[in-house]
Amino acid sequence: MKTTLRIIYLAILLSAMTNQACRKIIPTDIETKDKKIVMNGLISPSGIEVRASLSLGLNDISNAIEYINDAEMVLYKNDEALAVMVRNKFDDKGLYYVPYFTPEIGVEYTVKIEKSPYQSISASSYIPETVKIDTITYFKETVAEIGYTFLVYSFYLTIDDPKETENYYFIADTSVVYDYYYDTYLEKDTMVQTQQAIYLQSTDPVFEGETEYAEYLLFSDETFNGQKRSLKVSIDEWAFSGDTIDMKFYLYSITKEYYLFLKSRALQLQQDEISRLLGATPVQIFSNVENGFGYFGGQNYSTKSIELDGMENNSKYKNIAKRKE
Amino acid sequence: MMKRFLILVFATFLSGYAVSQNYTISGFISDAGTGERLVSATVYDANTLKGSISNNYGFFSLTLPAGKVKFVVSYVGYSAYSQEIELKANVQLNVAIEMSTELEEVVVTENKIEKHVESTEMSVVELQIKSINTLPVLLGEVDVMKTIQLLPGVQSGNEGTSGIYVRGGGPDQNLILLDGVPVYNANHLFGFFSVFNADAISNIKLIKGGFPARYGGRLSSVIDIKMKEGNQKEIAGDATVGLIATKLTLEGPIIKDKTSFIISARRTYIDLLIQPFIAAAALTEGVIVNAGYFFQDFNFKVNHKFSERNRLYLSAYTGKDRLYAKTTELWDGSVYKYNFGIQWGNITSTLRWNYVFSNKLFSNTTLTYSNYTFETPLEYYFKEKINDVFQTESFILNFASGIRDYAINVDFDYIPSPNHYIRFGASNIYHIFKPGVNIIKQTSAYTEADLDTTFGNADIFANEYGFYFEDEFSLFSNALKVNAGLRMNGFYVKGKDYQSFEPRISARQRITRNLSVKAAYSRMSQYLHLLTSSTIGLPTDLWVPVTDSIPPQFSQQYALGIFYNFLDKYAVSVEGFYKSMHNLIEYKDGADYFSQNTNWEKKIEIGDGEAYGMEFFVEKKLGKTTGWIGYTLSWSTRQFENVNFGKEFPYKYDRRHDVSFVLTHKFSERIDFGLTWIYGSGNTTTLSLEKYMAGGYSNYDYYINQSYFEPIVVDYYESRNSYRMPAYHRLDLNVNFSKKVKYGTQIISIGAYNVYNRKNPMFLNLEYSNASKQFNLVQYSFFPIIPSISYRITF
Repeated sequence: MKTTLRIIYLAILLSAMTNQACRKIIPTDIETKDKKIVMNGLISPSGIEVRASLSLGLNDISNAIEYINDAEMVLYKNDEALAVMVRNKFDDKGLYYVPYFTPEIGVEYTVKIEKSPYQSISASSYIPETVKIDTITYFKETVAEIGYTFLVYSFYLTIDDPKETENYYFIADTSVVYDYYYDTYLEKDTMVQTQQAIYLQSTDPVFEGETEYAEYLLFSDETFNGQKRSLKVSIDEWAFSGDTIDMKFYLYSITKEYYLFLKSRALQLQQDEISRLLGATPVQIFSNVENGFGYFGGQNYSTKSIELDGMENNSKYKNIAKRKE
Repeated sequence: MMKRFLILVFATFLSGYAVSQNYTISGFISDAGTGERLVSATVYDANTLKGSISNNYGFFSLTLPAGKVKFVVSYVGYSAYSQEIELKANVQLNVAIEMSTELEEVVVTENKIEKHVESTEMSVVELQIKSINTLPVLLGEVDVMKTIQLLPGVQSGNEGTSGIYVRGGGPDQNLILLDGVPVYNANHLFGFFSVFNADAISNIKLIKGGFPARYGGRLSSVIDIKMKEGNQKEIAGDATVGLIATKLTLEGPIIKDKTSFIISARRTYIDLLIQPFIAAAALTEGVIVNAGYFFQDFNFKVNHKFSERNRLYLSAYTGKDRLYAKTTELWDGSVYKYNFGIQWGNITSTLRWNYVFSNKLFSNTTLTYSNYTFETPLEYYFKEKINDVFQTESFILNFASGIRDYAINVDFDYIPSPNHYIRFGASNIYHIFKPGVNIIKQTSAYTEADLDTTFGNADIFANEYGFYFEDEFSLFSNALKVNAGLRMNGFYVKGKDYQSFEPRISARQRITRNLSVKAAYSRMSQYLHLLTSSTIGLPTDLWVPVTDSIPPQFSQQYALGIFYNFLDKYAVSVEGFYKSMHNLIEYKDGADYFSQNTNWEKKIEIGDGEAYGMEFFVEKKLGKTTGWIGYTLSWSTRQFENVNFGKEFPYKYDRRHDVSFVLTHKFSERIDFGLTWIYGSGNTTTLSLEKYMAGGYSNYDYYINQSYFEPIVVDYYESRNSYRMPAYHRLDLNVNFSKKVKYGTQIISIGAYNVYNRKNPMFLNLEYSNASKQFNLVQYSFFPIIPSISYRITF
């Protein structure tokens, strides 16, 4: 009897709470938005590259990007037309550049894209000054996380932040791997150098609230403007291949707009479903493009390498050491 | 001209203190049946219409010139008390009034003071538990917070939840006091029920604006909930069996008319009923399972009257929610045990001493302790047989957060004449905030060393203090009445001392006996923030204090209203308000509770908010048919430098129209009926209707750039909260069938929530349909028509 009563009770309760609790399609036309031109552009001392594409509607579920290979794209310097950008013929994905062009640091450049019947778009940016990595040191440490301990290489990179400006940065790294092969043409061993980006992580407060585990670490000088600052970044031991000899770090100086774009993009991609289900507001991605989507950013970088100890037993290290001699 | 006016004002002000043959009638107002002290009862001389009200502890003081006085006490739902007094000396008079049992409408024709029109209070609603008990409820559980949601200016959050949003404010901006102690998390069952057991509560006061100086610490509202004191006359009780919970309340005298007590307990029993089915199902898989969810409350209060001047109260509340799951697997001699849970709860306790210094000076001294805790324990234990040797491993992870307060308040009421009611006092709260720590313990045969570590946010210690002074005074023969006051608040944390001076003023200008105009200004500050990313009342919402980098919230509110009584039984008010709020906090884009690695101070944005609107309220409190109609037209926005690209956006619960219709009708002594209908504009939400490629590798520095320029399609959100969900509306009904039995009264309540089964939106999601080859906007609704039944017996 008790069990029967329990079953009746639960049936009433559960049917009330769940069976009829439902999903319902709202008979509302979802507004179909006109397609817009999307700019993904970057200017650096090496030149300028801009990729043009079209935005997607909600119902474009394949996410197949429609690149614009016949856009009219003009580069302006301080509001004066400087050059018509040409499409890179080795790339069929709407990539444009200016041949034999070396941009100037600190000068404002504007890109305007026109493609009928879409609304023209434009965006401006500049190349920031480089900031050097003064020193790099490193040590190995054991890190404990829930249920695990593991070895990491921790690096301290010291930078001297300029006082006059707000500065935005990201740090990237590559492991430098030397290899050699027998060159049949030269009939001797030949050394090659390859580089590979490695995931960085950090508990340094300067990266708090930024992307914390990626191939680049974003940060700003908000808390140390005009001061020397030592930045701690770490790399899991397992991330190194056995042939790693050097680590090369890149300190990118980037424009504020580019920083905001990279940061918000990373945050949108990182936002997990649990948070969304519990009502967390979605992340809006920053854009400095007028009448369209995307970004036009400026960057500059400096590098510094450090040779890792403890690789003496690596046979390749011995060969390289010999060559260096 | 101005000089004459000032002299007149000054003379009128001083007149209140003139001491020419004046005598004082003072005492306490109580319920004749239970001895319970009555709050806000009106006492006045019907000949001169000079009057006062009883304070939170039933004390009143009325100083009048010598002579004949027609002393009247009136209180809604009670028979009026009247006594002729020849006033030639001070009079000590305790009045016990009878609850009205008349079914016919009570029409008082003699001169009387209409508190609604007379008082300087505006934006204030008082609710009596008797009327709340008649209203329809979700799953048969009477809920005071959900009744408050039916009032104009108050909006609910998501459907079914108890969270309240007052005049565009956030859920953290409500000072919820249970017997004077702040309750930080007033939610049970993820917000679907509140922690307040209606059986243990006597009355509720909601203040939305025009805050008197005696209240401070929150921006948007004060919800002052008083527990019953316990029946002074006889043992009485109340037991209820509902669909999800059982309640039991017992009260009575320990020493008649001197000492009384009340205890009340409530517990849900879904877990007890469902547990055997879970266990049986799991056992077929070879797992022993003990899992479930419950919440429970326990209220206790005792008070003792040492003398007419001295009274001591001790009250306590403890409540807990617990979701738990324990599993044990036995396999070939090995044992695997898992234990997971989420639990949170409040403890509040109050020691209160009322002392009457003189017939004009009343004091109340309160010591309080409260503790809110939230924990998520996770444990496992393995005993594995490997190569005939047992190896053991155990692991414990516990995340804990909370807030603990120790407080002292000293309040005085000084009533020198009917023209002045002076209140002053001081308070101090010592807060200990625990913004979240993780405790990990691990022992394992497979690792070299055991792990025993604690990490997370450090405890924060803070001291909050305040002083206030206010005077409610009458001018121009009581045509104008003003409550003016000043509150000084302070907060000391991490070596920094924040202070704020908060002027408060509210004024009432009487136009006719039944019509008045009121205006109010108040500045409020708040030193606590609630970090919340959810749209329901999750226990993961984290209370944090201001720090050296997070400034206090503050607001300024202006209100103007017209108050009118007609036919002696309808009270009408129309109020307009404007509120600006500053230093509000919000999680940064992408940050939430679950990113525990980041210091909470780094996860928030600081910004401003604005709310304005108009509220219309008509209420009938007397007679067989009672109820109200409320309508709110309002706007509420937020603006943060780094949210929505710095542009202003609608608040999550910005609701343009909000209507509530509440009706109760007593057909006979045996049957009464309750109905509520509510309508609200849809809540806002953020949707993405476009996408684009963000990134795309560059040929320059290709070897390192390839990864972070990887082309990825991202969602474009035009603006935060730019899409409005469909409107919300719902009808609830309830019928109570009462029957006298030899040991008391039994009441069977039958009701239904969402009678016409409206599919109200809980949230919206964009979902692709393979059939139509397009995205549809899909609405999820949680609460269809839900019938309820409960059985209650009172004795």
